[in-house]
Amino acid sequence: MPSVDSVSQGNGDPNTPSRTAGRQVGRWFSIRRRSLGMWGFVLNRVAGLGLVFYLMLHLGVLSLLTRGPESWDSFVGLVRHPAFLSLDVVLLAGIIGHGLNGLRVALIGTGILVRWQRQMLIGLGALGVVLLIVSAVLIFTA
Amino acid sequence: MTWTITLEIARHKPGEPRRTDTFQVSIDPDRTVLDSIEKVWAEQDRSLIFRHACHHASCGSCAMVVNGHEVLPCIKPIREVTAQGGTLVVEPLHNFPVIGDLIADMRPFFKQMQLIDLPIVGSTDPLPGQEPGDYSRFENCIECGICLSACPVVATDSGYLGPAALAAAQQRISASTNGLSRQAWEAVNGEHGLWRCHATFECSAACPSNVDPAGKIMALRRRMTVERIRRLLRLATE
Repeated sequence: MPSVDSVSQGNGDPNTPSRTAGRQVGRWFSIRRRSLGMWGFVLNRVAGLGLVFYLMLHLGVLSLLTRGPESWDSFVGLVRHPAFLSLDVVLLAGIIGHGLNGLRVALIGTGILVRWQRQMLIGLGALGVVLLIVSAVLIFTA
Repeated sequence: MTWTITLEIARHKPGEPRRTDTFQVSIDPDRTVLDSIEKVWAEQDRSLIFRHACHHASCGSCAMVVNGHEVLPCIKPIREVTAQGGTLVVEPLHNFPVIGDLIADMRPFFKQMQLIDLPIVGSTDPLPGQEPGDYSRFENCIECGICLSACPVVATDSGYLGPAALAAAQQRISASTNGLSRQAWEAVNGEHGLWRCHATFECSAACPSNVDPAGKIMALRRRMTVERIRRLLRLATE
């Protein structure tokens, strides 16, 4: 006789989709090492969510301007710390990744260079890494 | 040579909670995953239900998820998906309702095909009184549903027409001067149609028949984009 390992959710209705909403959204981030395009899809979702979070944070930080120059100047002094500059590099990684991959998606999404979508992802990824390294050097040295 | 492998099979009976049952099977690793499931059924649990027919990747009826990947178990050798003493985690296709155990309910899939004028008929031959080709289906596609299971968009948009139907639509448009009916065009170009695809190419990577649904969806988009640009230019010059 088989042993029962685990019990998961289910209501037994054959017309009910087999997955909960959370697990369905989880499929967006399910890299199964099958298609390179899935990496691009996940990258764009993660970077997009990160950029939305940053935008909200940025708007919140700008509100410091309403508290006078001392408040703003002390914040600017804080963000020149190398730890904060590292976060700038992370932000740039998101912008570059989202932007370059967005360009790729726009091209293949209108039927252009579809057969080279993998090569485009690799090529634009390499370009993104170069841009990020140059940007990081400039951030820390300029 | 014989390997002993473990099969962790998703179980589901109407009215009962889902569970996973574990079985040990001794089998030649050059046999297929479907062979191992049939061995479980024959020797250990006659209540296990799964669907299969041709055993050579023609019918698409046995499609399921093995170790996280959609496969046709009838042509997938055991040695390609596990090792001696290894485990096969076997589930029904994702993104479909489950009728029982490893059987996905394919009705949503066939409804999508019907939306683009590909109803199910008993034969691929022309029926009496019909023009040849009227009811020929998308011949490369074995309608296994693997592309829908692999697609992350289908996971969150149950109304999405899906890779198979969109690829079939592209095939019909390319092969026929009549193209699609107005109703089919509305489905293809609608909210849940070809613009919903996010170009992950998971469907093309998973397809066991090399249909390349993603490539066909992009070809359909190119056609639509060109038509829209032409329409805009025509409007501008009028």
